Amino acid sequence: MNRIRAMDSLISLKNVVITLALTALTLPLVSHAEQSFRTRAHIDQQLTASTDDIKAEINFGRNIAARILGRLPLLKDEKLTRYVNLVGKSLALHSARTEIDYYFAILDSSHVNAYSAPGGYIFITTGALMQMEDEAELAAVLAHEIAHITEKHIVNTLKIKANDNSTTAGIGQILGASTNTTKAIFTQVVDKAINILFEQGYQHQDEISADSVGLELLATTGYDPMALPRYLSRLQNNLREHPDNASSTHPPTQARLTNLTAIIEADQLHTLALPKATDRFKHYVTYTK
Amino acid sequence: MKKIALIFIALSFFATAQAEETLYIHANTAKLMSEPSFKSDVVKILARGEAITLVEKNKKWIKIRHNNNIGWLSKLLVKNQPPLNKTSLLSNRDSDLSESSRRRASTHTTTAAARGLRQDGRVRESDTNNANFDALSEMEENKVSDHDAIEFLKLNNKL
Repeated sequence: MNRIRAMDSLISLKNVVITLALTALTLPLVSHAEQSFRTRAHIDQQLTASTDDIKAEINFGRNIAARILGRLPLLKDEKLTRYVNLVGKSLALHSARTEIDYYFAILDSSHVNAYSAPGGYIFITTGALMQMEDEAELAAVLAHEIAHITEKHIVNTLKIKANDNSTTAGIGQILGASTNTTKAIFTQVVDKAINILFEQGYQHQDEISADSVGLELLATTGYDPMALPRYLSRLQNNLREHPDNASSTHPPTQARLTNLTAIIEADQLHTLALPKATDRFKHYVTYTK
Repeated sequence: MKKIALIFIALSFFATAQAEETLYIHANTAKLMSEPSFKSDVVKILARGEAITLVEKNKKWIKIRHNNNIGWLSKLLVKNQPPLNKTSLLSNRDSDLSESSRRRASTHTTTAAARGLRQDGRVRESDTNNANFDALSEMEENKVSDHDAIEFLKLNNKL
């Protein structure tokens, strides 16, 4: 069975069509038309993902996740990790991507940040946990990261697809010709994803989209949606005192807050009486600032 | 004149029938609301995979019909194709276990095989690119099941 799974993974790896040349050209300058396509309402997107596409995405995401864990250590706290997984999985069950598994981990780092890799891999730092005051705020950050996965922000930016029905099937055949070549190009695209997560950041529009989708995911799951602006506001205030811990890969907090305020007012989300689950959060999260 | 009217009615009927769009629930469960608002009453809870008929769209909500029920759903919960089965590169070793965080002796071997790289390749990858697949395996072993998450939500924020 292990051999079969290993073969599946290798086939999946071979099937990943990476439009490297196109990516190199378009990564910094994703066209306006594409941006507007990607910001269209969820339902309007034509679903073309096949099981092979999803396997390619998971394989890609696993390699990114391993690289994240190579940079920042995993926190060894079984009880807290299970709690974060339960909160995260509860949110993920209410998302529109229930065909993948979700994994949540805590990174032992004082930097205030969270990351997600395609295919369902989500990370939050102890520095971020220390800034939170209730479970709804934890859920808010996880919902934002889940949204990056459900909206396929990295997958779309780097054009990760299996090679069936792809306009770049020719490149897929070239990649299939050499395992070493395939691996080399695969590694380069993982490098690009790591660069997005740690240096360059997502496109501004993708961050705003993740906030919007995350807000709705919170309300749908049953958490206080005001938790996201509440957390961001506190972050904005606290990080003025400790700028070294600020995330360099998220857009300015004020821009995000302005967007969130507009959505909250339009949808009257501030009138929802949904729980913060403060006591439960304080039972599990004992880190203090 | 009567004939023209009949043709017009028939054409209208077909146009309406063709305009009806079938959508599918992708979230595990989806609350059908009486109004396009999270504050409105829940008409019914729909399950993943159920087919619904689109009646009307607004910015974030869709009005749908399901059997004899009409109500509003968040657009984020549906797509225009049925949901795929759970897709994973790993085995389903933990998917049905209530205590999914427990360890197994063979897990490291199993996940290594699913990494997309052979064991010896993985070591080289780890060395050259500072990838930590052992920590990744640990992360994957900590996955919780759907059942556990649903039970956690039912606790209604209690411990």
